[in-house]
Amino acid sequence: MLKAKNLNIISFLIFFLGLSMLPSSLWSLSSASFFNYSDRNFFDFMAIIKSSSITCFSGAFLYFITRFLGKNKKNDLKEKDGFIIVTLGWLFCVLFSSLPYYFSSTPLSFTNSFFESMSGLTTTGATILGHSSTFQIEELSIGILFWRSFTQFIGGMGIIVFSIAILPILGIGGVQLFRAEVAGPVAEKITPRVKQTAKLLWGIYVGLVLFQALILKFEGMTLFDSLCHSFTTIATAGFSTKNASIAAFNSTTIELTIIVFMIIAATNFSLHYLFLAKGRFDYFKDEEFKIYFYIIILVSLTLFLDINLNGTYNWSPNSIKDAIFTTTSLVTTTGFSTADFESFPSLSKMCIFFLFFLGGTAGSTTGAIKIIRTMLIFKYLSYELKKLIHPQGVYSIKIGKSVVSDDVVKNTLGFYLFYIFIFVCTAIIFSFFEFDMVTSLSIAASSIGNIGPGLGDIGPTDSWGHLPSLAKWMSTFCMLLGRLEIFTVMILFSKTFWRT
Amino acid sequence: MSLRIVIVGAGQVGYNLSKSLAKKDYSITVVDNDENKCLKVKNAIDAKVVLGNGASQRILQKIDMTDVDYFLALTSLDEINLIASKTAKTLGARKVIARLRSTEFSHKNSILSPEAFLIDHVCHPEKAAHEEIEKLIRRTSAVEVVNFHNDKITLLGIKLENSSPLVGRSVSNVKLANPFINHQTAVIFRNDESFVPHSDTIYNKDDVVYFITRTEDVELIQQLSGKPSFDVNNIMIVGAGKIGRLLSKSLQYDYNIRLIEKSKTKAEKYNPSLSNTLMLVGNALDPELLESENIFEMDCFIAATEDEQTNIMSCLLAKDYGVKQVVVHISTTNYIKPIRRMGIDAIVSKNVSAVNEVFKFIHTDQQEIEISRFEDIDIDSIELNVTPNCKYLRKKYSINDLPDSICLGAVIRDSKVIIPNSQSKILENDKILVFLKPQYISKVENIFH
Repeated sequence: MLKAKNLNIISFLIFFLGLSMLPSSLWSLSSASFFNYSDRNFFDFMAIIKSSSITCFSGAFLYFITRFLGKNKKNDLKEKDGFIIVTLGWLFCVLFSSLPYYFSSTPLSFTNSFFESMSGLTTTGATILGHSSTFQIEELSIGILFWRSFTQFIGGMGIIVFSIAILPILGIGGVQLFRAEVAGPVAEKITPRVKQTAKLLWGIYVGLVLFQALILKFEGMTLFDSLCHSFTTIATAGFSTKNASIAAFNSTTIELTIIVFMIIAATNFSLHYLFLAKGRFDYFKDEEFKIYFYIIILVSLTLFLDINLNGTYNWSPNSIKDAIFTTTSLVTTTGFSTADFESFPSLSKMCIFFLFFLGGTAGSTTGAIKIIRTMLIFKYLSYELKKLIHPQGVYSIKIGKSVVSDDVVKNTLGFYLFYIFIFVCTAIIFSFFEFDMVTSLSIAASSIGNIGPGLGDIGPTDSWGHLPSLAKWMSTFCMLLGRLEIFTVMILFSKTFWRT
Repeated sequence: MSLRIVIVGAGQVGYNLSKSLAKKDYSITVVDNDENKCLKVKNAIDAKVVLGNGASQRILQKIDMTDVDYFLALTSLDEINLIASKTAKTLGARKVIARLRSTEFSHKNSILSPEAFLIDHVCHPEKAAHEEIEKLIRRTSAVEVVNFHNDKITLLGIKLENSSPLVGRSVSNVKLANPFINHQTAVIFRNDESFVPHSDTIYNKDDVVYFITRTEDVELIQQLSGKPSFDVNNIMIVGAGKIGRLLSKSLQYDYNIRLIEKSKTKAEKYNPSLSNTLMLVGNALDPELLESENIFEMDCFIAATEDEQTNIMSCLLAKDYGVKQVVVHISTTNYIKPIRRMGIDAIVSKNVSAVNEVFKFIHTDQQEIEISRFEDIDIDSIELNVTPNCKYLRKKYSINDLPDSICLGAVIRDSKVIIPNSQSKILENDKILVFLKPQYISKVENIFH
C-alpha cells in the first residue's frame, strides 16, 4: 500500500512545509541582534532556520529516494491512495512543524511540541501554553508566535489542497485527495478541474486573510498581531498571541471585526466565489447558510437573555457583545474568547456544550460535524416518519432544490454515528485520568470538533498544559480525526484496506 | 489558459472522449440525464458533472456558455444533439461539434443542413468506422490504412509475421536495399507502446509497423513486408447495425456479402434496401450456422455488432476457421491490449475514430496547423507549411539534422508528393507531413515555422 508514488507526493508536502517556516524566521530576524546567541530572537531565528532546513532536507531526501524507487511506474493516483497520502502527509507535517517549538529558546517537551503543532495544523486552537509547567504565551519570542499562528493558516484551507493547486497530480486521485481534506459530506468542485478549484479556494482564503489583517491594523493592532489574528480567524482556528485571547485588546471594534470575519470564514467558500467572481449575492438562497445564520442569532439571543436574567451581567452593553462573540466563536469552531463562559449560568453552558458539535457550513474552514450533516439527519428523520404514515408514499430528501442521493444520506448517518461513538469512547478514556465529568466530555468534544477551549478544567481561561501526556496524545489523535473528517483516518484501521 | 469544453452525453463516445480530454489540461463539464452514467464520470474523471437532459434550455443555461470554447453534442440521439447544438451556440458557445448517426443531414440535397442548427463541425462516428473498414477490405492484410493529402499519401499499418523479410533488419538497411520503393517508417508499435523509429531501429517479429508512402506504391510496400494483398471475394459481416448496413451497401456490388443479424425483425426491416446482400438471421457465435454458411471459404470476416464481447468472440471463431482477414469493431478501449495479442488482424472502433476526429478539429482550430490524432497508438501527425524565414532554412539544416524523435513522412511541393530520403531538400513553401509524439509538436513548429 505504501507506494513510492504516494511517498513522493508526501515528500513535496514536507518540502513546502519547510519553506513555509521561512516567513517566521524573518520575523525573528527583524528584531534580532546578529550573532548574539544570548539574544532570544537570534536564537529563535537560528532555531527556525534549523527546523526549516531539517524539514526541507528530509523532504528532498524522501523525494529522491521515492523517485528512484518509483521509476517507470504509472503516474495516476487511485482512489485508495488518497487516504494514505492525506493521513500520512498530515502526520509528517505535524511532526515537522513541531520542530521550531522543540528547538526554540522557550523549549517545549516533545509531547508538548507535538500537541501544540497538531492543535495548530488541525486548527483546533487548544494550547498547552499558559500553564505553570510550560510558558506563558507572551514569553514566546515573536518568530515562534508567528509560526504558531502560521501553522493554523496552513492547516485551515489545508496543505493538501495547496499542493493540488501547484503540483501536477494526475488522475482521479487528485479529486480523492481534495475530498479527503475539504469539509463536508460532498466536496463540490467550483470549477470542472480540481486544480482550478484548489487555486480559487486558496486565492479567496489568502484574500480574506489579507483583507482582515488590513482592517485590524487600521483598528489599532500592530502589524504582527493583526496578521497573526487574521491567520487564526479565517482558519477558524483560535490561537492568539495573548494569554487572555481577544479580551487582551479590550476594543469593541476589534471584537466586532473578528465576529464578522469568523462568520465569513465558516461560510461555504463557493458562495464567496459566486459573490466575488460573478457578483451574485446567493448567501440567503442557500439553505445551509440560512440555518447557520439563524442558529447564530438564536443562540446569541438565548445566551444574552440567560446571562442577564440568571447571570452576573445586569443588562450591561457588554452582555450583547459577549453573547454574540462567544456564540460565533464556538459555532465556527474558532475558539477565541472575550468572556469566561465558565461563569455563565447553566442554560448557557448547556448551549455552549452542544455548539461544540455543530460546526459551520460545509466547504469552509470550519471543524466539527458541519450544519449540512445535521440538516440531513433531521430531514432523514422526518422522511422516516412520513414513510410510517404513508408506507406507499414516494419522498425524497432535498437540500435546496437538489435531491440528495441515498449514498450521501447513508454516509452522513455513518459519519454521525462514528462521530458520536468516538466522542463517547474518548470521553470515557479521558475520565480514566481522574478528570471530572464535564472536563472529560469537553476535552473529547473540543478536540474532535477542533474547537480549542472547553468547559471545566480546560475552560477559556485555562490551558491544556495540565493534561497527563497520555491524554495529550489521545487528544491529538482526536484532533486529526476531526480535521480529516474521521473516515479518511479510520479507513486505515480497516483490515480490508490493507488487503491488496 | 485552458480550454473549456462541454460534452453532452456520457455514453461510450462521450465517456471515452472526456477521459482522453481530461488528460490534457482542459476544463470539462459533462451533461447526461442518466444518474449512473453521471456517477461513473464523477468517479473516474476530473470533470464537472451536470445531471439533466442535454437538450433542455434550463440545464444548459446553468453552464456559463459564453466561456465555453467547444461544445460537443455526442449523445446517440441525433435530435438531442441538434437541439443541444443550436441552444448552446445561441447561448454563446464558441464552436459546436455534433455527432450525427444519420447521414441525411450532410447529404447535398438536405433541406435542413447542420449549418441550420449552427453546428461548426459534424462527426459521423459510424460513417468514419465504416470508411475505415472499407479501406482495410480494399487493402487486405493491412492493420490500418489512413490517407492524407487528397488520398495521395497513405499511412499503412502492417503487422510483421515471423516470415516477413524485414524482421531482423534495420530501418536504414531496408531503405538502402530497396531504393525504388520510396517509403518512410513513421511509427512502430511494439509491446503496447508506440515510438518513432530512427535509422538503426531493428524490425522485430510482431511489430506493427506504420509505413508512409505514395498511394500508388502501397502494393510494393505490402510485398516488401511479406504481406501481399490477396483477392477478396467472399465477405461475412456480423450485425446489421449502422456500420454493418453501411458496409454492405457500399461493398455489395463488388463482393459476395453475407450479413448475419440476430434479430429477425431487424433483418426483415433492412433486407429490402440491401438487395445484393445475403441476409441471414441467427447467432454469429453458433459454429453450425457459420459452417453451414461456408465460413471456410470466407476471405474477410467483419464483426460489427453493438456488443463488443460478441464481436471479439466471433472473430476468434473466424480466425480459428482460417479466415484470412478478420476485422473487429469494439466500442470501448478496455480490451484493446488483449485483442492485439489474440492475432485479430485489425481493430476498428467508432469511438476511437470519434475521439481522433474531435481532437483533430480542436487541435487544428487551436494551433492553426493541421494536427491529426491517432488515439489508439498515441501518435500525432501534423501538416505544416515551411515558412521562408524558419529556423531550418536560416541555419541551412539538412534532413539528417532533424531530431530522431520525429519522422518526416512526406514533402509536398507544387502538389507533387516526395517521400524524402537522406539527400532530399526542404525548400520554402513546401508542405511537410510529420509524425511524432504529441509532446514534440512545439519543437517541430519551432524548426519550421
